[in-house]
Amino acid sequence: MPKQPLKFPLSLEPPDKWPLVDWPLEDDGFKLKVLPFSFGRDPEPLARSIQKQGLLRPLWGVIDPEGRPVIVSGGLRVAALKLLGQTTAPTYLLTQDPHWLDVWTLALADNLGKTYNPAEKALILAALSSTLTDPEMASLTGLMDLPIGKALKERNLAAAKLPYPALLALAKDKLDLATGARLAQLGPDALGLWTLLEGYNPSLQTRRKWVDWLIDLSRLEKRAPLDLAQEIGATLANPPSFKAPNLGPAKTFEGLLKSWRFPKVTFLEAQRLRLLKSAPLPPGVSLTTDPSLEDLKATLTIQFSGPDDLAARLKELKPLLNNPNFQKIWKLKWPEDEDLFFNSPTLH
Amino acid sequence: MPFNPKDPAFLEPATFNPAAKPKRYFTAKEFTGAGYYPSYAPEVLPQIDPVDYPSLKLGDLAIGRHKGSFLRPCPATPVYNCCGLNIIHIGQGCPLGCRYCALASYLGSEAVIRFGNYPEGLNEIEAVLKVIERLEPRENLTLAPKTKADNPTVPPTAKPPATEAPKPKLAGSPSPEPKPRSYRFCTGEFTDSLLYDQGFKVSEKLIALFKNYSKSVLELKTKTASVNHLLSLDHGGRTVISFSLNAPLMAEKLEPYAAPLSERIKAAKLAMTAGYPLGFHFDPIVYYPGFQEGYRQTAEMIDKANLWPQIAWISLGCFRYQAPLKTHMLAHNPSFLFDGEFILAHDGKYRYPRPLRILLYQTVLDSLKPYLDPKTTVYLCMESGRMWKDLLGFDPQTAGLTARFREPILSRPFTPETL
Repeated sequence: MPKQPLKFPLSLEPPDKWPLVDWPLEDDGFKLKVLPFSFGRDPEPLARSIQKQGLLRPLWGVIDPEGRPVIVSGGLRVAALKLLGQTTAPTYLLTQDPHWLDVWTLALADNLGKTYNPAEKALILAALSSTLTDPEMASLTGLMDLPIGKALKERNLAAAKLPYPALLALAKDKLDLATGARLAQLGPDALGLWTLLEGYNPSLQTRRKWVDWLIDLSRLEKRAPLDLAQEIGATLANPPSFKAPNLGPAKTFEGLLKSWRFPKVTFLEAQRLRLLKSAPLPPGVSLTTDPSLEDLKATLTIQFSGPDDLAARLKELKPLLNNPNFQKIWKLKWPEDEDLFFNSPTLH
Repeated sequence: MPFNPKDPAFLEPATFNPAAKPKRYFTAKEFTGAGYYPSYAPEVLPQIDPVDYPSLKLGDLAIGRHKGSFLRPCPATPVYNCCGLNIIHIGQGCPLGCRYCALASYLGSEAVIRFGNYPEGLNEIEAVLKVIERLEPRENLTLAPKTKADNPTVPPTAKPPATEAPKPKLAGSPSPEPKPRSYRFCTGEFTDSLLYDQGFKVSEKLIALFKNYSKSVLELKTKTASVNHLLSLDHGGRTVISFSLNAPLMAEKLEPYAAPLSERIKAAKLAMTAGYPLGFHFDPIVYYPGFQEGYRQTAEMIDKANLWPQIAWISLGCFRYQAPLKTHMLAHNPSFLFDGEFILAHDGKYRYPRPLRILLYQTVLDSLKPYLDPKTTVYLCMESGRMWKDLLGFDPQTAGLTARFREPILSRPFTPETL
């Protein structure tokens, strides 16, 4: 395309000079290329609307330098029309080989006010980056909330490379951008790992945690995250006959993964649990939260049915304060054995 | 060592040290003219618009306008004890490339932007210093606890006397009413205080300003050894020059463009000779093989330079990071920082688990204890009251901690006996 941007009005009223053509939605040779303004959206409601009221706004299209038709704006409309069995759509054809900046300006203006999902944002940013310079992109920020900060931009560009199912999860807020970016960095393994983790049906937060831990662990262990995840799955399916010392019960994917990634924290938590069990609380009293490994705060709940009952409970609690095991919980020491931590390849 | 391997600047590490001086200079149109540029910059600088700041790179220095207040509270979280530092915003960005630092990730660039309109900031700061100067002695002062966890025994709010000066906004002020919590001011939060400073004269002007006020202290926080331009100034003991320190191996591995530890100690010695009180910040303390020996070596370096009598304060803080920045930091920094075991803390950051932090703090405190001067304040940066109690024997709470910095800086709030 020519380097000099063309000036044309941004009014969405069709300028006379753009001819309205019947654009083929299918082509024998290739799939129709569409700029990624719609991803992970259901075209059915729009198809129903088109069926009832007709297509209210024509599409915008351009012929790219290779002679390929590109739908600049109207991806969801294309999907809806295809659903209705249409083979062509009325399209304003940008005939003068406009500059990409103009194409994007028009497309963003045509989608003005639209709330983009995270996958669309990532894909649009990736497409913009491949066609425009940074200052050109910066000039479009008024038309879309573009992530131009370095870190956010990097995350979006990485996430745009996610395999389809993960990208779909990103679109539907079942995967957050930071986790998606980390996952995408695994390249071909990303799809396998995603599929494996989805088998455990984790929550958004859990998914984020697992990906983070697996990638950290893969760095420490110098093994692929997918490989590690598969081994965890296999271990859970065929648990070893011996019980791992000091690591507590690891009967779940997360439990086992955590004990691998955070052996000392797991050890301390197991130790805390043992100490709590060996310093039993009186009846009607419970620790609703364990002392954390951050600031040791805990919450004690006392059930009572009157002042006299409360006095009795408090009396029963007193011996607990002097219980050495209970006191030890607040004095847990960091395990001295450094082997597990200090094998990092990057320090030396 | 590169942040970005594709950046041509990194292809010539032997000839380019961004800490020495910038590689490229830019200025906003309104700050055109030699008066705005550092003395070492070319006479004519290309112009830059703020929208193009994202395209600036490591080694770039831009002079631009700061909109808004030049004073802001330290971005601390209310869930931990905070020292109530006030930030003087002289610029942003740092090219020192410290591997644990999220500033470049946060700002999106390693370029430095200094504010050409800083004289407006000087006026704003002077107005605040005047208000502080008129405030009552400490026992009658307003303290504005951030949280309910703050000291409930703090005296009720007392408004400062009426003044013609603009109402200042200080750390922890929940309302436009001036409720100063602390009189420490520092320029080194969003950039290094003394980086490229020699040509700008900002620190010189601040030192000259603070020397006239007896209730406020300026802290110039740096990882450079660039103090020569300050040595002959009349500072009146109201400016603390502070240095970020670490174990020698960590300084070497994690602070590629900062002055070597030995140079920082030498600079501290020079500052001491010029009569400046000193500050040292062991932050971030990092867990690595041999950390005990490493932090002991640093304490010995301070001892060999005989700096102890002049140290006003020493702060300790362990490595912590924000999860959203981890991916970006990992892409550019060595991973061993993140290989350790972390827990999610109440401020949303990841920290070493408490037992490990206790071990690290105790190690550093044990290294310092044999030498520590009774006048020196030792404090923990962003730690809970429980941690204070276990390590230092008491919990000053945020109000109490900031109150200690309100005293003349060479007072002795904490003594080695309490450690």
